[in-house]
Amino acid sequence: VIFTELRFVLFFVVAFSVHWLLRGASARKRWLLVASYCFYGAWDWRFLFLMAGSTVLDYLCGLWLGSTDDPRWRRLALSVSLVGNLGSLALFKYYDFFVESAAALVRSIGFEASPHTLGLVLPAGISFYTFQTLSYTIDVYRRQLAVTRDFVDFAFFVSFFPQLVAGPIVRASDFLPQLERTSTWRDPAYRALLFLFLAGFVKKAVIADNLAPFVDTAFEAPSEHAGGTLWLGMLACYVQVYCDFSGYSDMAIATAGMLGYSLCLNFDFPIFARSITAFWGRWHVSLGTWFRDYLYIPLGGSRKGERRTRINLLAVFLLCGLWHGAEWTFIAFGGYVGVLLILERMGTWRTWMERSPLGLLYNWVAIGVAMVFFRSSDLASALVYLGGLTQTQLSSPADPLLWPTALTLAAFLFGHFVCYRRVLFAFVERLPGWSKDLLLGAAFALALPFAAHDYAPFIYFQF
Amino acid sequence: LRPVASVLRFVGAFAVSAAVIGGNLPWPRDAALGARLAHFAEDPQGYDAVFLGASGVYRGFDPAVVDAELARLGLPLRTYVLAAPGMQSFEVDNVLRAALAAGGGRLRYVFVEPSPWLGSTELENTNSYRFMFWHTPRATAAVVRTVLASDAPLLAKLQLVWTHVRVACRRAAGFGSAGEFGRAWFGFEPLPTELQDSVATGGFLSLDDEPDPVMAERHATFLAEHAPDFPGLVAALERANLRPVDANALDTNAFLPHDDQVRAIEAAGAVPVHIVPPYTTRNRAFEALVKAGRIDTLIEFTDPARWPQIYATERRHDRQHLTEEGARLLSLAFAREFARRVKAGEIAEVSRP
Repeated sequence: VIFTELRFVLFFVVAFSVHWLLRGASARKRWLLVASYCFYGAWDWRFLFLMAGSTVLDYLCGLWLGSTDDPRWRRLALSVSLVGNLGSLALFKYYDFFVESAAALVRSIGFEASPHTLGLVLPAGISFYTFQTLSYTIDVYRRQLAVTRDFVDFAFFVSFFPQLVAGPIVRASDFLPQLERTSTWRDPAYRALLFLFLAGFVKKAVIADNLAPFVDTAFEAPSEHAGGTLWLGMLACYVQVYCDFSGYSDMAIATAGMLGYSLCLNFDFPIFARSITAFWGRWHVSLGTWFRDYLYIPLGGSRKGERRTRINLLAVFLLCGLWHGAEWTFIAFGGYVGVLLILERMGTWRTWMERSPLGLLYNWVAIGVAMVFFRSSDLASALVYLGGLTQTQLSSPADPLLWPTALTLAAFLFGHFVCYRRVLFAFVERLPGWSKDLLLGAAFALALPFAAHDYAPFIYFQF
Repeated sequence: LRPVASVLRFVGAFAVSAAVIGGNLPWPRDAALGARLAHFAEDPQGYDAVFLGASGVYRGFDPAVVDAELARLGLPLRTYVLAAPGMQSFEVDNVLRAALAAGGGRLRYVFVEPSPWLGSTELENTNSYRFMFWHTPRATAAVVRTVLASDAPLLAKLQLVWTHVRVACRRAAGFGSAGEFGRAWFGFEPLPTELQDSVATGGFLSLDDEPDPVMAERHATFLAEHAPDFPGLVAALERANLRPVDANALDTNAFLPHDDQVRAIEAAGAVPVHIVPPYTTRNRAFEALVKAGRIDTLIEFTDPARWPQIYATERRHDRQHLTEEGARLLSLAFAREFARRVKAGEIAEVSRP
C-alpha cells in the first residue's frame, strides 16, 4: 500500500475514523496496532513474523535491562538485542553482498570460488524498524529511557504504520512518552496536516514520478547521451530522490499527526543548503542524528583530535552508505559524502561558501555527483556517467526531450522556494477558515491531474 | 457542527473541482482517436456509417475504397473509421455511444467488431490514459456487472472489480490528465502528419503509411521469420472452420452488454452489422450468437476459402494485419458482401432524407 494510492486513502479513512470513535487510549493503541500489522501484511504477510520477532526480542531485552543493575548482565542484554537485530538485518540485506564480494576477492587473486547465496527478498522497512528498536534498547541501557512494561505500547511504537516502511526513524524516547498522554480528535491541526500531506503528494506523485522516466533513461545507458542530458539527468535524479523520500516523510508526518502522534522532522529544505555540512544537517535528519548519537559520538566524535574525527566521520558515512543498500555504489556514495565533510573541516572555505550564493551551486553539483553513485547500477556505470558530464555537447538526437524535465525542475524549484521563504504564508494564515477549507479541497483536486500515471514505489522502500 | 461543516466544505470543493476536470477530459490521442471523433462530429456533410473495433478494423477497412465501391453498386454511403489498435469491447462501446451522439441521427449503419466482453485486464495497461478514459460511470457499471456475473473465483472477481472501480475513480478526478490537457489545449507534441492526414480521409491509416518505426520492424520480422509458416497457419484456420459451431462456445455473461449495445444502435435508428476482420484464428462464439438470435448480421472474414486474396502472404503486414493492398482488397470484399446482403434483404436498407 502506497500513500499515493486510493487503497491507502480508504485504509486511512477507516483507520482514522475507528481510531477516534474508540474511547480510551488503550483501545486506540490496540486498534492502530492491528491496523499497522494489516498495513505491513498487505506488503508481504510472511515478514510480519520477522517484525513481531524483533519486537518481542527488544521488549524482552528491555525488561531484562530493567531488572538488573549488574553491568555484565546489562551488557549481555544489550548484546543480545544488537546481535538479534543486526543479525537479521545482515542476513536479509547484506549476506549475499558480502559473500559475493568475498568470492570476487578470492577469484581476483587466482583461486576458485563458488559462493552460496540465499537470494532472500528484502523485508520492507527492515532498516528503519531495526534502527528504531535498537534506539530503544540502547537508550534503556544508557539509562536515558525508562523500561516499557506495556507490550502493546512497545509493539505499537515499532509498527506504527505511517513511518513503518520508510521512516522517519522515530526514537523510542520521542514516541513512547506520547503514548502516555490522552488526546482527543479535536487536537490535531487538520488543515496544516492536510497541507503537509498535499505537499508530500505533490513531491512524490507529481515531481518525483514525473522525473523518473527521464532519470531512468539517462542512467540506463549514460554513454549514449550528450553532456547536457547527463547534467540534467544528474540534477533531475537529485530532485527525484529528494522529492520521493521527503514526500513520503511529509505524508507520514501528516497521517501520524491526524492520528494524534507527532513524528520528527526528517527534511528541512536541504536543497537550499550551501555546504555539505549544512546539507547533511537537513537531509534525512532522523538517520543522521541516529548515526551521530549511536555511532559517531560513542566512537569519540570530534573530542579526540582532528585526525580521529576524520576517521570517525569516514567510518560513519561508509556505514551510512551501506545502510542504504548492499551495493558498492552506496558505499561509494557514503565515502564520497564523508570525504567532502572532512574537506569542509579543513580551512575556512566552507564558511565562505555558506555566505555566498555560490554555495548553492556547490551544494547542487557536489550532491548531484553523490546521486550519480547513489543511482547508478554499478561503479563502472557511475564512472561512465561522471565522465560523460565533461562533454560539451548539449544534447544528441537519441536523447529524450529535455524541456519537459527542465520545466518540471523549474516549477518544482519555484514552488519549493516559495515554501522555503514562506511567501504568502502570512496572507493564507489570515484567511477565514471556510476559505482555507475550500482552497485545500480545490488544491487536492488540482494536484491529481499532474500526478504521473504509473504508481512508482517509494525509492526508500528498498532500504 | 463546525468540524462537520469544515469537512463538508473541503470535500465539496474537492468534488466540484474534480468533477469539472474529470468531466472535461480530452479524448485520447492514440491513433488520433480524439481528432477523428471531433472530425466525425463536425463534418458538415455527416457520415452514414461508422467502423468500430480493434486494429484489424482500423488497418483493414479503407472508407475511400468502401464508399467508391458501394456507390458503384448503387448503395452510396459515407463511412468513417473510429477503430483503434487494441480497442476492446467496453472501449468500443464508449466510442460507439459518442459516435451515436455525434452522428446527429444521420448514422444508418454501425459496422462493429464483436468482442468477448471480458472485464479482464490481463492484456491492458491499466495505468494508461486510454484505459482510464473509457471508465465512465456507465461503462464501469457495465464492466463490473459482467465481471460479477462471470464464473471466475470470487477473489479474482473482487480484485478485477477493484481495478475497474479504482480506474473509474481516477477518471472521475482526471488523475494524471494534465499532459493530455496540455496537448489538447496548447498543441504540445502535435500528431504526426500521417495521422493528421488520416483524420480527414475517413479515419483510415494503412500500416504501410504508419510513422511509428515499430510497425516497420514488425513487418520486417514477419517477412523474415513468420512468412514461410503463414500458409500453414491459413490451412489450419481452414480446417478449423470446417468444424461445427459449438453451442457451448457462447459466453452468456456477454449477453447483457452486447444486447445493451445493440439496443443503443437501434434506438439511434441505425442497423448494427457485426464484422470480423481476417485474423488467423476464429472465435466461434460469434456464430453461436447469430444462432442464438443475438446478432442479426455477421460478416466473417476469417474464411480463407472464401476470401483467399486477403490471406495471401504478400498482402500481410504481419500475421493479423494487412498491407495497404490487402486493406484495399478487404474493403472491396466488404463493400460487395454488404451490398449483396442489403439487396438480398438480409440487412435492412435504411434511408435518410
